[in-house]
Parts: sequence; C-alpha cells; structure tokens
Amino acid sequence: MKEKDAYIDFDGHRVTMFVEKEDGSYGSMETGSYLASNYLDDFWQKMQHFHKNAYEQLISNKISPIAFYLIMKEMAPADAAVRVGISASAVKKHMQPKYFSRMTLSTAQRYADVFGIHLANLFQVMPEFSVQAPVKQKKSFNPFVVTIES
Amino acid sequence: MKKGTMDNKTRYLHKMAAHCETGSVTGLLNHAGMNITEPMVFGISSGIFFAYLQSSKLPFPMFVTRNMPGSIRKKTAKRLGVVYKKSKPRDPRKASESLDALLAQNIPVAVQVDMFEMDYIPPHMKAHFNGHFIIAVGKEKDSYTVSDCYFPTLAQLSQTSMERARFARGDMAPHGLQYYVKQAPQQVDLRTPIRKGIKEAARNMVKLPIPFLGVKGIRLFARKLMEWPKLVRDEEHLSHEVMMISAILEERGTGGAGFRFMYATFLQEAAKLLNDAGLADMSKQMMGIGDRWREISLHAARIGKKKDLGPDRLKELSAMIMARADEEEKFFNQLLKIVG
Repeated sequence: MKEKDAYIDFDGHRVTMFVEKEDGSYGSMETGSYLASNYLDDFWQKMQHFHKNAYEQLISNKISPIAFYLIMKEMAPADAAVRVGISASAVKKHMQPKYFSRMTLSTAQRYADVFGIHLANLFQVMPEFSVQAPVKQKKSFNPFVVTIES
Repeated sequence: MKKGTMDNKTRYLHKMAAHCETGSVTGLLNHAGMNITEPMVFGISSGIFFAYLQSSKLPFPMFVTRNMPGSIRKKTAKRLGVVYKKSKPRDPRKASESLDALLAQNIPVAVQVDMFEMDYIPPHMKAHFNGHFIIAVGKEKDSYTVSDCYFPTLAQLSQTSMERARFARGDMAPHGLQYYVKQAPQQVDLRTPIRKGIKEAARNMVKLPIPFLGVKGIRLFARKLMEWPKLVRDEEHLSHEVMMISAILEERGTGGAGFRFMYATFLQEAAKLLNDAGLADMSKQMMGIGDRWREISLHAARIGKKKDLGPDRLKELSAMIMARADEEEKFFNQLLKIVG
C-alpha cells in the first residue's frame, strides 16, 4: 500500500501502518484508523440495536442481566465461566431469570468485575444505549455500594 | 526514526508500533542498546501466520493472522541470544511488589495484561483479550506510567486496573507474567536468525497438517464464511461480524492487511542484509498480497455497513479469501525454496 493511500486524518483512534514510501522503501507511518473514521457511527448504531433487543428481553424477564451483559460485552458463556471462576453450566443457568435470583452476592460481584460494571448495574439498566454513562457512579469503600452523583 | 515520548526516569522511549508484542519487545531491545526494527523482530520470530478458530469459548468464530502471544519473546531469546528475566508471581500483591521494585531501579518491564482493563483506550476498543502486552516504565502513588504501542503517548494505569489486568482469568490468562531484558547483544549477525525465521514461518503456513492452520486455515475460513448466516442472531449481528473481518485484518495491531505489510517490510530489510535479489522480489510480492487482503477488508466493511449480505455477496467475499489462500500457498512454497 502506498503511503499516500494510507493517510487518514482522524485523531480519535491512531494506528501504525506499514506502507510503501515514495522512494520504494517500506516502513511505518502513524495514521488515523480507517474503520474508526468511517464506520464508528455504524458500530455504535449496532450496539444500540443489540442493546434495544437485549433490553426488551431483559425487562420482559426472558433473559437475566447476565445474559444481557454477555450479549453487550460479546462474551461466550464458557469464557465468562473461566473469568468468573465457575462452571460453564452455572453461567448458562445464571442466564435464565429463575436461576439468577439464586446466585450469591459474591458471584454477582465477580460477574460485575468481569463485565467492567458496578454491581448495582446488574440490577438496573438504562433503556437507551449510551457510550458515556448518563449518570456518574462512584465507588465507595463499601464494595456493594456506589454513590450516584448528579 | 519515528518520534516518541521519553520517560524521564527510565529513559524508555515510547513509540507507537503496529503490534503490542513485537512493539514492546522491540522497545525493550532498543532500550537495551540493540538496534533492531519491529518488522525484523516480527520476521525473525516467524510471526506471520493464519488460523481460523471456532470454540465454545469464543462468542463467534474468529481468525488470527500471527503466531501465539508470547512467542515473539521466546523466539527472540532463542534466535538473537537475548536474555530475558521472566517471572509469574502467583499472588497479585507480590506481583505488584516485584514490579514496583524493578521500576524503582528504573528498569522498564513488559507485562501481559487483559486489554479490557486498560483505563486509557477508547470505548470501542474495550474487549477482553488476555494476550495484550504493555511496558510499565514508572509508578507514582497508585498509578503506573505505561507505554502501550497502541496509544500515542505514555499513559496512566491505576494499580487496581493493573492488578486486575495481570490476573484476569480465561484463555491465554496472563498469570501475572512480567519480563525485562537482562542482557541483549549489541551486535548480532542477523543472517542466520532471518533464515530460520523465514523457514519456520513458511513451513507453518504450508506444511502443517492441521485443517484450520496456515493456508488450510485460510481455505477453511473462506468455506465457513458461507455458514455464518446460520450462526448469527439477526442481520445486524451478521453485518457486525462481517465488519469485524476488516477490524481484525486492519486495526487490531497488524500494521495493515493482517501483518502482510509488516512482513513485506521485513523481507525488504532481510533482502538488503542478505543481499538477496530473490527475497527483494518476494518482498514486493508480499506487498501485493497485502494489498489484496486490504481489498477484502474494504469490501467486508462496505457490504457490512450496507447490510448487503446475501449469499451472492458472501460468495464473492469467500472467493476473494480463497484466492488469497492460493496466492499465499504459492508464495510461501517459493519462499521455502529461496531459504533452502
């Protein structure tokens, strides 16, 4: 690929590409990400769509919050199982609302850690998908409590 | 030389690189006084590869275009005579103490981490991936200064995030792995390591008798792509997964075209060092192959966005991938003949 063809003016996501320079030599250049500059809106639109579908299933009690976050974080149950430290069959059970309620708080906390969310967010979901959190939540010294800042 | 930012204490020069592991190993070797480039590290370590992966641990089938995480360090140790001091402390607290002690001596240390925990990366890049490498170069209070090749400047990472990232569970779990260069030769004759690196990479691409690895893996990918519509939740999901082809080839630390551009750069450097016209020609061929992989990326992104994903379009994409398999089979067989 020629250097001039690789150049993308985008600061939001920088990448290093290997290209053919004008003198015929090959080397690296820093440029903006082609995908991020052209398709990031499309990516977030899809995330909104995934969120909407999963949210509707969640509030109609067809899936548990665990299943909801597995969809949103694009994780396989078997991968979540290893990361949480439980069996894959246990994760599959926790994906169903009736078994979710039987989970211990410490297991829920481990799920929250793997999903990168506060524990409280396993029990509350925003109807609309948002990249930036619409409310500010702050960890407290109590591992089970977050404070909400207006 | 590319511009970079220097950490004042360790004098470690942070530079962006195409790939996290080759970039961090190159950074450490340069810091230790060894003059070597990222493509050379990649080539000597037989980095170029292909594998089509489908497993219950993956939410969707995926492919990789390089060898296993960790092999760059191992191969540079073996082929260049670099001595790394590696450790895997079992306890997160001891791991932090060990890392802090090295940083207190101004030694930059590579750590394997789960990318999801990196506080500074953009939200669209947040995904669990345990095979990410960064260099810790300093620590102040509860925050590490780290050099991440995917980030333009030195970044800050909280101690909590660092511990969680180093002890994430799952596939390729880091288990607290950290390493630094203890000894690196200042002058190395690269000719033998280059030949060994090329030979192994070419064999891995065309000689492995496993159906999902190397050129066979590219063919499997081309065939399996036609089955993707059965594996998705809906059209939007298929569109997302098809567009991920483009992301994996271009954006996930490959230097473009699934490492093919970086490999072409390595072959050009190798041709000069070995004064080998055959390798120079192979380098040009590889750049061409990379261009055609990039066509696949752009096509996948376009049809994915338009949701133009009927059987004909997927067949077209599959045929493009199949053609790359044929081209790479010929290429790597020819490369094997050149390096004997």
